[in-house]
Amino acid sequence: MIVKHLSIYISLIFLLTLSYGLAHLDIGEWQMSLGLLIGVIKATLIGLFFMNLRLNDGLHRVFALAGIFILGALFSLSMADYVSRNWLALPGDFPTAFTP
Amino acid sequence: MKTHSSTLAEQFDNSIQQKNAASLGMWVFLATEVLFFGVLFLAYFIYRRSYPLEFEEAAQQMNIAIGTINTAILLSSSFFMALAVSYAELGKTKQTNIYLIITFILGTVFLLFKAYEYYDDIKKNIVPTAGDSDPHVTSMFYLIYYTITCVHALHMIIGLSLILIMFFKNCRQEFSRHYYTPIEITGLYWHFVDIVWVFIYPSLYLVGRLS
Repeated sequence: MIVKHLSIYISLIFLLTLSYGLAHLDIGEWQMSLGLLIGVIKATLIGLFFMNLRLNDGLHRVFALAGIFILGALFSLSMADYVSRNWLALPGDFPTAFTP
Repeated sequence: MKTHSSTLAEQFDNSIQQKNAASLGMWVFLATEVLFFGVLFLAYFIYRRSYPLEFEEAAQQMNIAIGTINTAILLSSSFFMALAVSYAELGKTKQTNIYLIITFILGTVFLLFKAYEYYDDIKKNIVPTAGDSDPHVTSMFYLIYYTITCVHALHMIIGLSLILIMFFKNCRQEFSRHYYTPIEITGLYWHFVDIVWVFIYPSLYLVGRLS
């Protein structure tokens, strides 16, 4: 059982080293996405194994995913507000009816 | 079928149902905490998207050494907390105590490093209202940094208090193989605090680090 937890722990430390190393590489736009992706993988590992989501019944996974789903709703609706008003200068901005 | 009625509350049919109710309740609370931190991260991402260059410049002032060490410390504390819960499940009180204390020590070390980092930052004048480029934006980065990490540190303190309470309850032999639920849900809270830091680290520390 120690070995089971230890293997997850070693994976987490490896991912930490990986994200630290990636931060010093010149990968431009992908830096933020990769950093967050590594964070998501780490969070999934912690959630599945340390928080026993894998062992427990499916209802626990539903509750956890529900929390993440609502977070997704928070992000997407808030970003929709910002993007639709051209407040973020993102590529593919909303066309405005009035062109000065 | 009732087992160990001394620890089984009246409204539950069996201890498994009671344990599931407790952990599901904790997961609901963690879902609300996800939203709590999610809003702070949303603010961070919106500002980062709006002013990427100023944010990268401000983020270079962050102490990445302490940030990385703190991440490693917190991941280790999660590992030992998972061990404590696993040994509590087996009813091994002594090992549970040992791992709870190790988790508590690692969490305290994290807070000490954080306190030193705050001291260092304030000494270097990395505070809201400072900044070379657009001062408003740089202030915003530091404001978000302090808000997120202070709220996270508050959650750490709460988690450490819970671990200490569990340690003393365990010393008084209040837990067994059949009833260790409080330790398990304390573990859930602690792992969640770790997960939040896992997202804080790349967002605040690993930005603009090209050497």
